Amino acid sequence: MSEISHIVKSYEEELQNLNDNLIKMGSLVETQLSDSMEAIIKVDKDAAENIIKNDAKINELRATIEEQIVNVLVKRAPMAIDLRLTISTLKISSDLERIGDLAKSVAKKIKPLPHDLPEELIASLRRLGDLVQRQLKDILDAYLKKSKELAIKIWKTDEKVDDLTHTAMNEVADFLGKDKKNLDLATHLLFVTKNIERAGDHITNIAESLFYLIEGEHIEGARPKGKDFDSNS
Amino acid sequence: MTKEERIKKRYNAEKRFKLYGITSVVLAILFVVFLIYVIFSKGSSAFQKTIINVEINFTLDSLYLDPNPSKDDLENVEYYDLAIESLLKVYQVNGLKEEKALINLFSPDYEYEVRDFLIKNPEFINKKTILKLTASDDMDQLHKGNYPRHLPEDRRRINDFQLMMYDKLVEQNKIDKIFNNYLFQKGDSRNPELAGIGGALVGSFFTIIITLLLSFPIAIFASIYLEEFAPKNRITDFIEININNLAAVPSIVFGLLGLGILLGTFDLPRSTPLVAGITLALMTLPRIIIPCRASLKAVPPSIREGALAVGASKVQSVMHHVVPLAIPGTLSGTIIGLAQALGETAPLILIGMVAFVVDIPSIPTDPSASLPVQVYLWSEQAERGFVEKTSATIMILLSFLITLNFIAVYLRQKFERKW
Amino acid sequence: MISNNVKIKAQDLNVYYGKKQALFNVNLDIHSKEVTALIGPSGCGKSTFIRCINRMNDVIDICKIEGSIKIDDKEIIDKNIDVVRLRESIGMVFQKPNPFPKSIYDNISYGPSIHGLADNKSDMDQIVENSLKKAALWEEVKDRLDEPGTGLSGGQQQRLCIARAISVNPEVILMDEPCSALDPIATAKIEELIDELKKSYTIVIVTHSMSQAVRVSQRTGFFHLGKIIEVDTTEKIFKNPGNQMTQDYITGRFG
Repeated sequence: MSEISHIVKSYEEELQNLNDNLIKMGSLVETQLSDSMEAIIKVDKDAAENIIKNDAKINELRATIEEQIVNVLVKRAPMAIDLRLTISTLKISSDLERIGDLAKSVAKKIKPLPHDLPEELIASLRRLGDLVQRQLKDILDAYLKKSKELAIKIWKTDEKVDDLTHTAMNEVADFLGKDKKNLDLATHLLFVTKNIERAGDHITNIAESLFYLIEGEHIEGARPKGKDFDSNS
Repeated sequence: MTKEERIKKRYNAEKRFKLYGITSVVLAILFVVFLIYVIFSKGSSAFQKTIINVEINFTLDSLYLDPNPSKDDLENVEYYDLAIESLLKVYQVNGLKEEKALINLFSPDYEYEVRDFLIKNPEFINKKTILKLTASDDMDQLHKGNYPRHLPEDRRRINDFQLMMYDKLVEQNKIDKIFNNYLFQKGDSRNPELAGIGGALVGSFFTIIITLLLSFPIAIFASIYLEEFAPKNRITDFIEININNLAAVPSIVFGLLGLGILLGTFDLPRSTPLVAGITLALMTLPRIIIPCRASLKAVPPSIREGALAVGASKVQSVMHHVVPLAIPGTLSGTIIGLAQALGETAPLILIGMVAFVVDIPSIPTDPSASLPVQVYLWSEQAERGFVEKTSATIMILLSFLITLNFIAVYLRQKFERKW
Repeated sequence: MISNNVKIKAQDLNVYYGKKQALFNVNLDIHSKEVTALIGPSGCGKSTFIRCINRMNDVIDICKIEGSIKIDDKEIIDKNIDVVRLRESIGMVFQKPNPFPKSIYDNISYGPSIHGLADNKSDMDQIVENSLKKAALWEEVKDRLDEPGTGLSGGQQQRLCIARAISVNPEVILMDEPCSALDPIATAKIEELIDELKKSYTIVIVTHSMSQAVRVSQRTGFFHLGKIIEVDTTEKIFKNPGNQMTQDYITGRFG
């Protein structure tokens, strides 16, 4: 990135504002995700209400960021690095909002759950949740530092997310197999697991956007894929 | 000082400044008006001459002619007798002294005036008519009211008898004023009433033509070369300084040049428009080169670049594009230079144009006078009659100069092209 | 489509104005039937460079050119080259429109007439009409060819200058900031014209407007302080330039 700032100070400030807002949005989403993971493990229905309400703030911030981006485009006709920064910010904010939505979806699924979740179900879910949360924290860190290496690492870790998802879903399938009465619970948990995996995908998207921002090229190769879920395996 | 006071002071200063400006302009205009008034009041009377009506009977006998005379016959006749006879009939005189007094009322050219009339109007043979013969210089001035009648007789040229004749002739309406064609048709003369600027006019005309033909092409090509083609180095700088200085050299120096080289070394004929033209051309050269160069310089380089970019050579871009745009400035500079040359007196005096030239020159190598020199010559004469002629010549000269300047303005406006 | 034929090749070009050096070892290829944009801050040498191509710098006495410029493999920095013929094959359009103070017709016919390109009046009429049509000006002026060229609007005058450059059938057209004196609509018309013209002519355009360079050119060269810093396809330069200085310049940061 350039060490020199723009000749026009207000341009510099606009880009800085964009950066700051994106990071703020990232923090909010980070909080939502960790809160929703904790809430579902503990089956905390009050926390769930809060999480659902807080999603509005994330959407507002997204709208603000989008407006700011349109302003930069129309005012500044950004070139090269500035252009890539602007476009990437648009994509990243979209992915962050989706992660926020997924956290809200998870929170919504808490209400119909019983007060206690069996331990064998929670373990994998918790491990998956931790990994994705760490991915999110790392990618926000990578964005702050504009680190290409971190982005690549996070992008490659998506494979592990897929694997963990696969494991967690198998466990739920086993649980269902033991007792057909657990259908409702199993269904909810499958949804939750899937949501967390999709959050992971969005984080990988963010890694790709970040890489393009820094390098001006797309990350090579196909996205690494882990094992697919197959209820019969 | 408060802000209001300062503003008021500023406005007052502006008003004062405007007042100074207007006063200066008014003063200048007053001077010009005064000058014009003086010249016009002294000179306007020269455009008229006093004539005396004389009855003449062109009988064949009095002319010693055979019937049906040819033109040659008419030209060879002696008109003196007929003329004197007719003059003496104008007034009742007794004795030689009075006869002489009567004849002296007329300008000494009477016999030629009679002859010229008959040659021009041969149908008057054997007929009577009344001719308007030119009065003498003293009569002319007397009739125009410039003559000191009150002086005692021995201090004037017109004696009492002549005065009496004059008064009687006026009573009888035999004396009148008509347009003075001699002013323009005749050359210089000892007699003011017969003197005219004809010779000086033609002389000035030839001079200016020669000056124009010599100075204009040389000046134009020199300017174009110096401005567009010559390399910019010390030599060309030196040339430019010298040209500027030459424009400021007093004109009499060019007269010395003409005297020494043209008349001395080359032995050209003195007092001719040829020599005057060459001398004035040398003087006018720098005065044309300077505005021409300024006009060339004023053409923006974008025009030259546009021409060069399309593949014109240097010469083509200069001649096809730059020079046409420089024409208005050059023309007005040329005409102003010529107008200055027209009014030059000192150098012409040095090359001898002070000669008394009666005949009107027909070619540029005939001796002649020129208008400003004529003014100088007449201003030195004693006769009263020359005073008005001098002023009239100045008026004519001024009108030429003003006309030339108007032509300069007109040409400039006509050829001015916006770029 | 980016062509690969090199029309103009500058090698080790050094230009001096008296003691001051304006271009330092410039190596630059201009490709055929393409628009190459030259960008860079004021005084960086872009105008000096294009004026070397048609030897317009010859009119400046203290200008000295060292190095080589080859057009179609023929060296033009050579005392023996006839610059008049050279300029017949290279047209130039200047920053401020400079039509001749003559009629529109005479503006266009001047070049062909001095190069003997028309045998008679109807040939010349044809040349004038074709040039004005190619410059997208014919419809606007066809009924007033006798009127002075200077009576047109700024944008029309510039198109007139382009038509004048085209009238002698050049292979290359050099444009030195052709739109900087024009309003946005006139600018857009000229840019449209450049798009059309590049099918038949090799165009080099010096511009201060980054967005114009992006819009009209296929290749861009960035000059700074008399040196070529980077030259590449326009897409690369403006989306992901290789040189930090280039990026700082085009993003408005600069050092």
